Amino acid sequence: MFVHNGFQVLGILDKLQMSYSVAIVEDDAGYRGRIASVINADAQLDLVASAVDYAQAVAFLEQGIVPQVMLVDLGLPDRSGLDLIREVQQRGLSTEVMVLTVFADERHVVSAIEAGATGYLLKDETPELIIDSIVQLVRGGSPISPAIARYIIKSMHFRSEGKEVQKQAITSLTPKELEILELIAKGYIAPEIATVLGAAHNTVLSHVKHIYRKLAVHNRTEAIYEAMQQGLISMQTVGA
Amino acid sequence: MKQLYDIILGLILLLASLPVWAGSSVLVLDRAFIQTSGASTLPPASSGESWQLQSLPDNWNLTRPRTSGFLWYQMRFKLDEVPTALWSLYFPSVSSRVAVYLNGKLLGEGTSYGELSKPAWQQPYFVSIPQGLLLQGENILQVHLMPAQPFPGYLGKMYVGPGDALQPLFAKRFALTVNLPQAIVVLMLALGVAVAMLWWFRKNETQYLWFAVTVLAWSVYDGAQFFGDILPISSRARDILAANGLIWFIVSLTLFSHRFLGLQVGKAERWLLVCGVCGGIISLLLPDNGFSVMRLYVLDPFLIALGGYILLRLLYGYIKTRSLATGLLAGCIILGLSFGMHDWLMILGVIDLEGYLLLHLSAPVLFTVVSFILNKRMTSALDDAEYLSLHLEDRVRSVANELELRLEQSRVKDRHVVLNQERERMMRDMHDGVGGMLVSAIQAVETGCVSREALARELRGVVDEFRLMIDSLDPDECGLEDLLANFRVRLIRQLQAQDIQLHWQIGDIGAVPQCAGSKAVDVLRVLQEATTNALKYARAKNIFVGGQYTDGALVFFVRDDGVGFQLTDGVGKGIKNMRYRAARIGAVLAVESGVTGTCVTLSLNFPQTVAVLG
Repeated sequence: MFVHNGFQVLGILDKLQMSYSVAIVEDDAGYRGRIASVINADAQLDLVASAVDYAQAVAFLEQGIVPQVMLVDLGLPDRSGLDLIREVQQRGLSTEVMVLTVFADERHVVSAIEAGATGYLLKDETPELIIDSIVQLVRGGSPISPAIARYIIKSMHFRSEGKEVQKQAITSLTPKELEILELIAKGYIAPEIATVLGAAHNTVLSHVKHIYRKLAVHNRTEAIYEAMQQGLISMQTVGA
Repeated sequence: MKQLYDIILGLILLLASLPVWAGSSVLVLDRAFIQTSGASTLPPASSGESWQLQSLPDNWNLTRPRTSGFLWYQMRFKLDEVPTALWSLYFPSVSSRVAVYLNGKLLGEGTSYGELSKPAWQQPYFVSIPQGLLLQGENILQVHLMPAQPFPGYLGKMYVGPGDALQPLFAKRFALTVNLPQAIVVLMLALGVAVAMLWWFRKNETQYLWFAVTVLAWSVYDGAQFFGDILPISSRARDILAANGLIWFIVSLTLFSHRFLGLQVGKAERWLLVCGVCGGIISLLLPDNGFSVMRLYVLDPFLIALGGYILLRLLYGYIKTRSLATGLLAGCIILGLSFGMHDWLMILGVIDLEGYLLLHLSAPVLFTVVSFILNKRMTSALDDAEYLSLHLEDRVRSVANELELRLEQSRVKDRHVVLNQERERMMRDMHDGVGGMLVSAIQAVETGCVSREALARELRGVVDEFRLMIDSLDPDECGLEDLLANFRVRLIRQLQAQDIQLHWQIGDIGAVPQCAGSKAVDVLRVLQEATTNALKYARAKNIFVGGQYTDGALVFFVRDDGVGFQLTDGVGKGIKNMRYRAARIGAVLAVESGVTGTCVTLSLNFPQTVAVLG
C-alpha cells in the first residue's frame, strides 16, 4: 500500500485471488476505518482506494484506479456525493456505486439512484450484511426497501401524467418490474417475491437493478430534454 | 301689500316716464260713473240718472260682492285742444274682457281670447286712439266690463295721453305680467327636459323623475295661460291642459318631496296618483269655464293645503337632520306658499287686484334651488366615486397587506402549534422507544452485563427506531400500510436471526384515512411492542401477525406459540405502554396468555372508505 496525492492506493496486485475491488469515499474517519476493516477482513473484497472528499476520489479515478464498487457518502465536505456519482457515469466507467446512508430515506437514495447509483448501504449494518450487499451488487442485484419502492412507484405515476414528449422519453417499467416493486412496497423480501413469481432470488434483485438503471436513464433523458427546451444544447450536441 | 305695489309701480312710472312727465299731458281717470242697464254690445246714453258715481279702482268683490253680469263705466275728460300727436288709452290692470268706446266709437276689446271669456288675468290693456276721434272740450270714454265667472270684476285706473308717454309704461307692465312668465315657462320646460334626461341615465334616482314631472307639469299649466293666445288650440283645450298641468304639478310635487326626504308613504302615494288620474278625467268632462271654478275652489285650496303638508314634512326633516338642503327647500316652499296664497286671494278679489301675480315668480326660485341641491348631490356622489377610484388601489393594497400580515401571523402561530405538537409526539416516541433503549444500553455498559454483540444489537435497534420516527414524519402522511411494510421487513430480519418463523396474515386493509400519521405510528408501536415481547420472552418458534378491516372495524393481532405468562403476575412496562397507546387512539387492547402462547389484540372502529391497494 502506498500514498499518492493524499489518497491511499492499495496494492491490487498483492491479491491474486478473484476478488472484487472496492473504493471508499467517506469523510468520517471512524466509519471509513470500520468499513475498510470489514472489507479487508473478507477475501471476496479488495479495498483499492480510500478518499475523504470529492477531489481525492476524482484524483484516483484519473490515476486509472477503477474499482468495481465505489461506496460514496452523500455528505462530502467539498462537493455533494451526487456529483461524484454523476462524474463516474460521465466517465463511462463500469463502476457500481453504492450510497452510504444512515437512515436510507427514500428521497436521498432515489436521488442517488437517478444520478447513477445502483445500490445503497446502511452504515449500521453488520459486517456480514455489508459484505453480502457489496457482493450482491457486483453479481447483479441491488438492495431496496419498501419506502424506496413506494417512492419509485409514486414517482413513475407522477411522470406518466406529464407532457407527451417526456412520456416518450421515459423507459417504462415492465409489468413484472412493476409487480416486484409493488410487492416490495408491501414489505415482501426478495426470497418471498421469488417464491411468488416462481423465480430465483437473484433474479428479483437483478430486476431491481434494472429498475434503478431505468431511473438513471430516464433522469438523464429528462435532463437532456429540459436542456434542449431551454436552448442550452441542441440535437447536434447530444449527437442524436 | 297694496302700498308696496304702489311704490313699485310709482318707481317704474317715475323711472320710465320722467322725461315724459316733464311737460306731458297724461290724464289719470280715477273716477267713473257706472250703470248696469243697457245692451251689452252698445254703449248706453252718456247722460241720465241711471249713472252712478264710482271711484277707481273698482273691485266688485268689495263694491258689489257676488254680482255677475256686466257693467258700463263712463268717464269724461276735457281737452283744451285736439292733440296733434297720437294719443292712447292705457289700462294697467283689468280682469277679463273689456270693450272700450270713445265718444261713441268702439276703440277695441281688451282680450284676444275670442268669444269665450278667459280671464286675461292681470294683463295690461293698451289701445291707440285714432286721429280725429278726440274732441276739443269734453270727451266721453265708456268701458263695458263683463267678468268671466267665477272671477270678480275689476277695473283699475285708466290713463289717457300721448302714446309716446304711455307706451313705455304699458311695455314695462306687459313685460312683467306676460313676457316674464312666458320666459319662465320656456326655462322651466328646458329644465324639466334636462332633469328628465338625467333621470333616464339614473333610473334608480326617482327624485329626479318626480322633479322633472313637477317642472314639466308647471310649465304646461303656466304655458296654457301665458301662451294661450299663441297656441293654435281652442280655449277648451287650453283649459284641459292647464287643469292637468296643475293636477300633476300637485301630485308630482308631493312625490318629489317624499323622495327628497327619503320617505316611504306607498299607500298614500298610490291614492294620490289615482286622484291625479281621476282629476285629469274630470277635466275632460268640465263645461266651458269649468276649469276656472275647479281651480279657484278645488285645486288652489288643495295646492295650498298640500304646500302646508310638504312644508311641515320639510321642517320636521330639517329639525331632525339640520340639513342645509332641506332648509333651503323649506324656504322655497314658504315662499311659494306665500305667493300662492297671495295670488289666490288676489284672484278671489279679497286683496287689491292692482298688484301682480307672484306664484310664477316663485317657481324659478324653487326649481333653481332644487336643481342646485340635486346637482350638488350628484357631484358629491361623483366626487366620492372619483376619490374612491383614485384611492381604490391604495385601499386594496392596504387591505391586502393587512390580510397578508394576519395570514402570516396565523401561519406562524399554526406553525408553532404544529411544531409543538410534533415535538410532543417525538418526545413521547423517543421516551418510549429510543430514549428507553439508550438508557438501557447505558445501564448495561455501566454495569458491564452486556456483550458487545448485544450492545451492538441494541444500538442498531435505536437506529431502527430513528428510521421509524423519520418514516412517521413523512409530510405525505405516511399511512398505516406503509409503516406495516417497513415493519415487516425489519421483523423478518429479526426473526430470521433468531430462527423464528413469521406468519404474516395482514390482508389488504385498504387506505383508512383516519389511521395515518401519529395514529398509525401508535398502532405500529403496539404491534412492535407485542412482537418484541414475543421475541424476548416467549421462546416461540412461530409468530403470527394478522390484521383485517371489515365493517368499519380495524383489528390487529400478534400471536405466538411460546410459553405464555401469568397475567396475574402483574402488568409489565411493555403492556402498560401498549394500553396507554391504545387508549390514546381510542382503541381496545386485549391480552390473552396461556401455556400455548400469548395473543395481543388491538381493535379500532373506523368507517370503511377507499378501495384496497394493489
